[in-house]
Amino acid sequence: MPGAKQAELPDEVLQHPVSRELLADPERAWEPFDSRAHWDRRLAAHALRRAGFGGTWAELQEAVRIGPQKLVDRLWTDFGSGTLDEVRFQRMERTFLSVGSVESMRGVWVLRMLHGRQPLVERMVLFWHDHFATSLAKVQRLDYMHRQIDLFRRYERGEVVCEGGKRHSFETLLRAVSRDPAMLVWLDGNSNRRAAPNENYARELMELFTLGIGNYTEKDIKEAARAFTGWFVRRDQFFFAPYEHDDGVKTVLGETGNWNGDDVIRILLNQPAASRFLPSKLYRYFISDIDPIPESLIEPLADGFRTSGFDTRWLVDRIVRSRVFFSPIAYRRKVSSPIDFVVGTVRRLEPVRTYPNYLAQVISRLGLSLYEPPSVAGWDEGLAWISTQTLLQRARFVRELTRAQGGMFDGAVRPYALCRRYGMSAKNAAFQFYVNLFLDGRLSEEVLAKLRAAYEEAASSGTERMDRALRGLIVALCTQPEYQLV
Amino acid sequence: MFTSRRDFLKQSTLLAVGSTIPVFLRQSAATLASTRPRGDRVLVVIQLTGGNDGLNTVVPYGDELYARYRRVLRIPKRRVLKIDDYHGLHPAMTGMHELLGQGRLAIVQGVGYPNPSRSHFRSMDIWHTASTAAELPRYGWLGRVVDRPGFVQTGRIPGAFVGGQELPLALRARRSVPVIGSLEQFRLEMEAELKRTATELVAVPRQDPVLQFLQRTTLDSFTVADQLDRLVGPEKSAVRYPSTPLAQKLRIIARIISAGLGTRIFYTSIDGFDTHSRQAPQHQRLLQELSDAVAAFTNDLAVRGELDRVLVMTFSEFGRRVAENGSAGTDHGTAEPMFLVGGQVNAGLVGNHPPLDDLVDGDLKFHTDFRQVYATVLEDWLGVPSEPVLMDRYEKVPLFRG
Repeated sequence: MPGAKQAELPDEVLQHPVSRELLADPERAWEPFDSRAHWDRRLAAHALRRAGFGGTWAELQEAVRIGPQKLVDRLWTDFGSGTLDEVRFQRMERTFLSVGSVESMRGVWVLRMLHGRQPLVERMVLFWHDHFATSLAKVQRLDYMHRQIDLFRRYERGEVVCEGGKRHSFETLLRAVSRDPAMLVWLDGNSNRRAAPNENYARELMELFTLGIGNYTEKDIKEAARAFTGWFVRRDQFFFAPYEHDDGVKTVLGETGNWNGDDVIRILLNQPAASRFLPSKLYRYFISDIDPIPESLIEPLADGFRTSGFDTRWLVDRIVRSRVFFSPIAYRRKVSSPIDFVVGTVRRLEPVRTYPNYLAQVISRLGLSLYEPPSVAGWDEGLAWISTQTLLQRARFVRELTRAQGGMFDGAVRPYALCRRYGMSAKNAAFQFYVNLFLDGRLSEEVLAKLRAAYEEAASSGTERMDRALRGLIVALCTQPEYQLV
Repeated sequence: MFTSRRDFLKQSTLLAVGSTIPVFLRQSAATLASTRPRGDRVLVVIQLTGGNDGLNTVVPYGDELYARYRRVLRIPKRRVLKIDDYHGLHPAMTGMHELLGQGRLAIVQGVGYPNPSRSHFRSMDIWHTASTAAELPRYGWLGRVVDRPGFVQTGRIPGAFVGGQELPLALRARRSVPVIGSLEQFRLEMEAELKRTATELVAVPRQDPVLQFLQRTTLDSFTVADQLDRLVGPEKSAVRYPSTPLAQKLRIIARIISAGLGTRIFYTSIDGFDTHSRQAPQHQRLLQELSDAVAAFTNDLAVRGELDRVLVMTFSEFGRRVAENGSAGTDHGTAEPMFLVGGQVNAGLVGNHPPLDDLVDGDLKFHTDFRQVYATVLEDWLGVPSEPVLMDRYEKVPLFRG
C-alpha cells in the first residue's frame, strides 16, 4: 500500500476508524454500503446532495425510509417531489431552440435539476458536459449544443446502444462524441484535412477525454490526428469525406495500421492509463474534490471498469453505492459547486415560484455558465469555485432569495410556513428544522450557541416575527464555511 | 451578541465584530482605517489565454523566411508598424506602437523554457508556478510573493485578480486573494445587523484547513467589499477607455490603484488566442483589444500621476508554430515575445528575434527563460528577492532604465 500517498488525507478523515478500515482493505471499500447499518437522515441527505441536487424535507424522509441501495435505484429512474416529466421538458426545449434563446435553454436545464425525477441522470449529464467541455462561445449553434447535451442524456438513460446491444459503454460514447457536430466545430474537425491535419481534437481526446497528460507523445497526437482527417460536419450532420481522409499507415501508441478514428479510440482504451483516468475523475466528482485521491482506492475501480468493458454505469453505481461514498472520506469533503449551492438552496426552501432563467444567471455569476465551459478542460471545480467574488455573490443570492418582499423572489420563500407544514412550528423546533435541513444539524457547539442566541433575540410569536428571524437564520446558515461544502 | 452600533464600526466589517475576529485580521482592519498606504510599486499582469501567435505580433517582416512560412497569414511589409528594418508590430497595435515611441514599452523576444509543453493546461501551469517539475507546487509564483511578510503594509490586500471568477493558479497563496469581477457586483447588500451576525459566526475558529480557507475567504470578501465601497469613489478619470472587456478590467485596476488600497499585484486576462483556424480576423481583434486597452490604461495612469510606479507585463502560455497550418490558422508552438509597459522600462527590443532558419521541430528556439523575466521583475521592480520565490537563481534581463 502506498502509505505516503494516504498520509496526505487530512487527519480528521484519517483518524476516523471507518476511513482507516476502508483504506486498509481497498477491495472491500467499494462494496455496497450495508443498508442495515448506520443509515440515518444525515447519510440520506448526503446521498441526495451528491447523487441528486439536495433534498426537500419530504424527500429526506422518503430516502431514510427506503434505504441507500433502493434510493440509488430510484435516483436513476424515478424519485422525488418533482412534477415535470421528460415530455414537458422536451416541449420547452423545442420552443426555446426555435427562438434561439440560450437564457431560456439554461433555464429549462435548471428546471430539470429542480423538478426532474431522475436526478442522478442529470448529475451525469453535468459530468459529461464538464468532461467533454464544449462551449457555445465558439460553436455558435445552440441547436448543436443541445444535441450534444441530449446525447449525454440519452446515453445515461440507456438509449445509446452499440452494435452488441451494450448500453453505457464509454467506447460507444467516445465514438458518438467524435462525430458530434458541436464537438467537430469546437475542436476544428472541418479543418482536419489529409493535406494538413489539425491536431486539436486528437490532442484533447488523449489529454482530457481518455488518458491524461504524460501518457502519450507529440508524435502520437500527430498520427492520431491523421486518423480523424475527413471527419466533418456537413448540413448539420456528421459527414465522412473519403477524399479528405488519410488512409495511410499510422503508428499510435505503438500500434501500427491504417487506422481511422474508431481504431484510435480502441487503441486509447487499451492503454492502462485509460482504465484509471475516468475512475479518478468520477472519484473527484462523487467522493472528494478537496482531498488527494488515495491511489490504492483507484486500483479496484480501474480493474472493475476495464473488466466491465468500460461500462460507465457499472462504475458510477459502484461508486455511489459504496461504503466509501457513505464514509468520512466523502462526507462534506467536496466543495459545493454553483449548481449545488443555488439549486440545493432553492430545493430545500421550496419557494412558491422559482424563476429558473434567473437562477441560471446566478449560477453563471457564481462561475458555472451552462453551455459555456471556460475551456476544453471544463470547470476546475473544488476550491476553485471559491473566491471573494463568488462567496460574496453566494451571500447576496441567499439574501435575495429569502427577502420577505420585493426583488426577484418577492416573498416566494416562506420559511415559517415551510417548517409549520412539516409540523415544526414551535420556536425551538423551527430553529432545529433549519439547522438540520441545511447542515445536517452539524455545526460546532460554539457556532450553534451563537446562532441560537441571535435567533432567540429576534424570534418571538407571530408569523411575521418568526418569518423574519428564520430569514436571518437561513442567511446566516448559508454564509457559514460548512455550507460551502457538500 | 450584537455589538453596539457606533459610527466608527461602519468602517469595517471586521472591526464591527470585535473579539471573535482573529487578532491579525482585527489589527489589519485597524491599520487600514488609520493610515495611508506607501507609494509602493505595482505589477499588473495580463494573461493572453490560448497561446498567442508571437510571430504575427512582433513580425520579423525583414526575413524572407517569414513570408515563406506564412503564405496565407503573413502581414505584408507595408502594413506592419515598423520598429526597425527587421521587426514590426501587427498593424492593429497602434496603441502599443505609440507607447514604444513614448519610451514606455519594452519587448522581450524569444521567451520560453526548456522541453516546452504544448498542452494549454500544462504550459499555463508552468508559467503560473514558475516550475517545470512534474509535481506542481501548490501555490503560484505571485501567490508566493503575496504570502511574503511585509510585502504590503499590514491590513492591505497584497494582490487581486480582476475581472473574472476563478483565482488563477499564479495567484493562489496560503492567504486568500480577492477576485473582483466588477465594482458593481462587489457589494454585499445586506442589512448591517444581519451582516454582523453572519460575520461573527463565520469568524468562530475552525480546525479543518479547508474550513479555515473558506472562513478566511468569506471574511476577506466582506472586508474587501467594505473597502471598495469606501475608497472607490465616483469615476473621475480624464481618459476614455474602449468598451472592450479588457479595457474595462484595466479601468477598474486604475481606479483601485489611484484609490490607494495599497494593492501591489493585479492580474487580469484576455481569452481567445487559440487560433487553430481562420486566425487573421480573430487575432487582429484580440491584438487591437490588448493594445488599445493598455494604451488607455497607461495614459490614464500618467494623468493620475501613477505611471512611474506601475508596470504592466503580458504573457501567453506559449507561442505558435512557425509554419501556418492548412486551415489558415496556427497550432501550438513555443517561444513568444513578452510586453512590459510602464514609466521606467528600458524601452525597445530586448534580445533578438529567434532565427527563422534555426528551428527545433518547426518551432522557434527560445533564448530567454521566462523565469529570467520574472526574476528581474521581482528584484528590480517589486524589490523582492527572486530565489525564494522562483526556487532557483535566474540571470536577470535588462528590463529597466538606470
